[in-house]
This record gives sequence, structure tokens and C-alpha cells, in this order.
Amino acid sequence: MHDLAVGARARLALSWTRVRRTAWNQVALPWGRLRRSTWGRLPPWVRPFLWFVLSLGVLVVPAFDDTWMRMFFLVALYATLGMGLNVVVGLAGLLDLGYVAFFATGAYTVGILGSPESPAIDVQLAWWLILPLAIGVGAIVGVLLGLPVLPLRGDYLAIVTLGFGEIIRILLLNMTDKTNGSSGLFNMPRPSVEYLHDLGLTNRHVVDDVRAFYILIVVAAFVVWFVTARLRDSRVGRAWEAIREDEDVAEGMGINTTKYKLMAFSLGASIGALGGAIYAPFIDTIVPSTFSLLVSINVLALVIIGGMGSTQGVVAGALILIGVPELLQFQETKDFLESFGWLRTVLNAPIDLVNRVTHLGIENLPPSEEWGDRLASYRFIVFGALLVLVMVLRPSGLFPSRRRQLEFEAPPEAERPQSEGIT
Amino acid sequence: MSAGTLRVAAVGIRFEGLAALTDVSLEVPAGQIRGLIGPNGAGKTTLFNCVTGFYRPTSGQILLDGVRIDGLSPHEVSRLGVSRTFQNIRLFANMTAIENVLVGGHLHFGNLPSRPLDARRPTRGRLLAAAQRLPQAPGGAVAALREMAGAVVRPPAVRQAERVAIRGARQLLTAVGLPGRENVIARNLPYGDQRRLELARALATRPRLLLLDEPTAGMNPQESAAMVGLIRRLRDEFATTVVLIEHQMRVVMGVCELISVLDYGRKISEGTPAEVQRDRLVVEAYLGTRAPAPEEQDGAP
Ligand SMILES: Nc1ncnc2c1ncn2[C@@H]1O[C@H](COP(=O)(O)OP(=O)(O)O)[C@@H](O)[C@H]1O
Ligand SMILES: [Mg+2]
Repeated sequence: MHDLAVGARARLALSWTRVRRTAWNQVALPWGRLRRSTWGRLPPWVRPFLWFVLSLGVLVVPAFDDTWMRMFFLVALYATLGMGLNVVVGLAGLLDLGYVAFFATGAYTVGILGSPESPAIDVQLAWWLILPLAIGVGAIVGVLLGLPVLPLRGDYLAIVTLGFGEIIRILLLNMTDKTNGSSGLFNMPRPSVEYLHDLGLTNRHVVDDVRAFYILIVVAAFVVWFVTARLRDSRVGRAWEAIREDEDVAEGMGINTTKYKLMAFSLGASIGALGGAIYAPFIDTIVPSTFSLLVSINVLALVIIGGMGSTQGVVAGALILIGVPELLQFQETKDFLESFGWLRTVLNAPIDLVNRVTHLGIENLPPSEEWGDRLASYRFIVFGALLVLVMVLRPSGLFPSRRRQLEFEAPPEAERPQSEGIT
Repeated sequence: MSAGTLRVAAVGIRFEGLAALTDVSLEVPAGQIRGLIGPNGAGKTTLFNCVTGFYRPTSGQILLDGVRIDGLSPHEVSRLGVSRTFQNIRLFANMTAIENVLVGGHLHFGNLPSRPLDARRPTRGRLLAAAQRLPQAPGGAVAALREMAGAVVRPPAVRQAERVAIRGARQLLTAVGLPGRENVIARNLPYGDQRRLELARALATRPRLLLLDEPTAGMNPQESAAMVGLIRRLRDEFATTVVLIEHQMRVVMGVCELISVLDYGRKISEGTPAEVQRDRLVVEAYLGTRAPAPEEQDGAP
């Protein structure tokens, strides 16, 4: 009886799903088992799922007005992009500063193939038809951009990819006969949901308002999460991590590093293109200036702030990086600040006093109705301060994946002899 | 897998004027444990780097079982059955022990369809070689897509392959003396265990030729003895040829059937341990004014 149980446990321990879990739970706890909370007792696939559902606020959909929904949409969109970039940066360790190139590729694929104003071709394809094309084009662009640059390492790769992001934008601006240049493309095709309508699941025919787009992006984010999580826990994911850890040795272990780096780059690119393909009909008008360096930086920053390699981190990072600046310009925020009128009276008194004693001539605080507007215009300063704060308090991100945490917070290694070449 | 005979024929390599290896020839028959000794900077690690494809020799040839392997890229050399450990331990530090071994087993992952080994040496430049491979690109893309799809969907075949790979990796960990340490992050293992893990990872590539770069560096005599015993046992168990770089004379004398001595990038002597020990040139290289004594330098690259 006892033997049977042991045998069964041993077999279970061998099984696929458990490998990671044991790996993650028993890490760095040589004295025994991790104390498990209720959360920890949930099956391994439920936890990230719940996280996902909760953190994206799927359940709050009907509770907010359009401004809020717009914010949630952007948060989910950037979380999706973040998961894509995470494959490239967090898993394979390739620093890509030009991620916007792939986002733009997806959006412009939709624009060129689906917009009636598109000067390049006459046909207008349905959005659902364009979607796989956009993903495919993204993957191909990823491979084409990746081929020449992936032999580069570290800083060089970062600088070259940075250039790509800009080149794509300038190309879009100058290929007037295909993209309408700076006047952009508009009237994007809407994703049809006729099928769901026929099933009686919705009263819409197309995805056209913020709420519907939000649901669409959450579904996409979920798919992306599933794909990337599965890949990470596979032979492919191990090869990526090996490359991140030590590229030479990975190559020496028989991993065709060029191939696997291309795979990571191209998967990241197709996820970026997927995001772009959903973003295009959402804003309806796409112009080259939308696809600026700032997008790349935001996505990279949210990956780092959240904690490289972790999905929860990406979502949390998106909430902070994308959500907060939006939040700071909401009417609700302004109303909230306005209710602090008394603070003005309290603070103006000492200011008056100081002014009377000295000749500093400090200005009185403006009426509280103006505070919201001021905050909105200073929002990037507030936001920058917040970022600095996060990075100071949690240098390895908000939700570092366990291994990342080890990497950043381990005591400095004994000086490893530095030598040229491979020893 | 076939024998594992290594032939190094008049190999030379220069780094910006510095001749790190000059006209080095070696013949290691299958199944032998060969010692490679020499003072620091003699070019021992450089020779390993040439054999494993990390460096491209400027002259000469390297053959594994009669097939030329110099000029191939490291992953191709590994595919042909050459594996190595590193002088400064180079594990995938933030991955667990078993993941390290699984990465080593990358090419032998369960029942993946094995592609025929392509040992064609790029004779012209790398760019040209890349261009020649262009026709294979679509096939490669399809294979990559299939691999990713398999990882996402996890059909029974992939699950089974993973299970087999994990079982194999566990056996390897046990074989090198690390049973039950599967889930320890590599960087948290004690020094000696890290060396063992590197050995397990190298074995996971199923080598016919195993190159060990100072496997006992930084170990005390007892640990060294245990490591030597392990190496001999693994050679028998996994039927590989072993070339062993070693600083401590005592270690090589005990385990190696034949020893080659490098000094200043040249092979200065070769023979049984007793012969080498008597060789005047070797004694001079080690004890003479030209290089510091071997016992004083451990762990340095
Ligand atoms: N990539 C490189 N670039 C320049 N010089 C190198 C390189 N690799 C090795 N060397 C030189 O080759 C010589 C032999 O080094 P090495 O093979 O590491 O010696 P050892 O016998 O101690 O392993 C040294 O002088 C070293 O500086
Ligand atoms: Mg060396």
C-alpha cells in the first residue's frame, strides 16, 4: 500500500506539469517544503489564470464609463504587447528597443488591406481575414529584421533595434503611395461578430465601441498569455533561457542559437503585430506619428517595472505605466482633488505669513478646481517620480519571476576571473 | 554511436600576431582517456575551443572519426558528438539543475524526428555558406513553427518526449552523484556539485568525445580523487573518448593512459605518465624559469 503510494507519487513527480511547479516552489528552500497558502494550493494553471482575470478587471466591464474603458483597453493592449516583448527580452535575453516596428506593421497591414482610403490596393478585406495575415506579416518582418542583427549582442543589438523602430516610422511617412504618408489611413474595417450575434450572445454586429474592443483585447491577451506560458515551459523555452544565461555555452550544447533567437524575435514580432491589428480599428485613424519611440519605451519599461519574465508583472506594469497617466487626467480625479479645497486655506496661511516676513513673494495656491488640470499637465512628471520610486523600492520589478529575483538579489558573486575568449 | 577518434592535424591559430597554437598534432584513439597538460597559457583551452568550433584554426585540420569538424559552428560540432566542460564553470546559473541537463539533451529530445547530420564544412566565407543554406530556409521555418505549435498544444507525443527527457536527465544527475538535486538552482549548488552538474550536462549531449577543461580545479585532494574516479566510471559507462586538461600532475598520472604536453602553443612531449614525467623538456617547462610551477596556479583561465 505504502509502496504503491510512493510509486504513484514518483510517477506524478515525473509528469510534465509538475516539473515546473516543484521547481518553482522548492526553490531556495533547502530546509523543506514551502508553507503553502490557499493560493498556493490551487492547481498550478489556475493561479495565473485567476491573476489574469482579476488583474485585468474583466468583471468590472459594465461598471465604468467610456473614459475608463478606454484606459482599461489601453492597459490590456500594452499588457499584450508586454507579454510579446517579454519573450524577446525576458526569456531570450535580447534587448529590443524597436518593438514599435511590429506594432506598426500590424496596424498598417489592417490599414492597407482593409481601409477604403488605402491607395495601394482596391480590395477591402474583412478584419478577421486580415488578422492572421497581420500576424504572419509581423512574423516575417521579425525574421527579416532579426536575420542581420541577431548576431549582435547586448548594447549593439539595442542600438540597432532602436534604429529599426525609427526607420519603420519614417518609411510609413514617406511611402505616400501606400500609406498616405502623414495624413494616414482611416475607416478601418471593424471585426465582425455576426456569428456571435446569430447565436444570440450579443446584440452587436461588429466590434465598434470601447467595451467590445476591450473584450476583444482581453481575449487576445489571454491567448497570448497561454501561448507564451506554454512555450516558456517547453524545450523551446529552455533553449531561450539557456541563450539568455550563456549564449556560447548554449551553442556548445547543440542549440542552434541563431534559429532560436530568430524564433523568439519573430514570435515577439507577431504578438506586436496582433496588438497593432486590434489597435487600428480601435482608433480608426492610423498615422505614422502614433508609432513613435515612446511606444517601444513604454512596453519595455512596463516589462522591466513589472519584473522580467513574469506575466503578472506585465499586467501590473501596464496598469502603472499606461493606467496611471490616463487616470491623472480623468474628471473623477479632478473632482476628487477639488474636494480638497480646505487644504488650500490651510496651506495659504503659512505662505502668507512667510511672504509678510520675507520678500520671497511665494505665490498662493490656485483654487482647487484648477488642481486637476495642473496635475493632468504635469502627469508625466508625477509618473516619472512613480517609476523611480518603484525601481528604488523593488529593483527586480513588482512581480519578479522567482529565478529573476535570484539573479538580481543574490549577493555579488565571487569575482569571476575576466578573460578574453572562451575559457 | 560510433567510436570517437579524434585527430588533430598540424593545427595552428593566431590572435593578432600571437601564435596561441603552432602545428599541434594529436591522435586520440576511441575510448582513451588522454591527458593534456602544460603550464598556464600553453594553449590547452584554446585547443579545446578549436575542437569544439568556438575558434576557427588558422591552419591545419581537425577530424572526428575521419570527418572534418574544424570550421563548423559549435552547435554543429556538438551535434556530431563532441561535448565539453569549461575551466571557469559555466552553468546556466539561474536555471535548475535538471533544466541544465535538459538543455544539454536538447538535440536528443525524446522521439523528435532526427534530421540527418550535415557535416559539410563551409569552405568559403560564412556569408556564402549562409547563402548556400538559403534553400533550406522554408523547411526550417516550417520545422520551427511545428516545434512551437507542439510546445503550445502539447500533444501526447510531445508530453511523452518530455517525460523521457526528464527521466534521462534524472538518471544522468544520479550518475554524476547529484540524485535529488534536480530542482536546485544551479548557482546555489556547492562548487564541487557545480562541476558534477557541468559533467552531467555535457553527457546529456551524448558525446563520443568528451573534453574536460580542468575538472578538478580548485578541489582538495579527496575531491579530486573522487572526480577522477567519476570520470573513469563515466568513460566506461557512456563509452566516450575523454580528453582531460589538468594542472595537477598527480591527477593526470593516475587516470590518463597517455599524456600530451603543450608549452607555448607547441606539443613538446607525449607518452605514458611515466615517460612524460621523465622527459627533460617537460620538467623544464614546468620547473624551469620559463613558466611558474603548476601547483601554484589553480583556477586561473
Ligand atoms: N580569444 C583570444 N584572443 C586573444 N588571445 C587569446 C584568445 N584566447 C586565448 N588567447 C591566448 O592564447 C594563449 C593560450 O591561452 P589558453 O589556451 O587559455 O591557455 P591554457 O593552456 O592555460 O588553457 C594565451 O596567451 C591567451 O592569452
Ligand atoms: Mg585553460
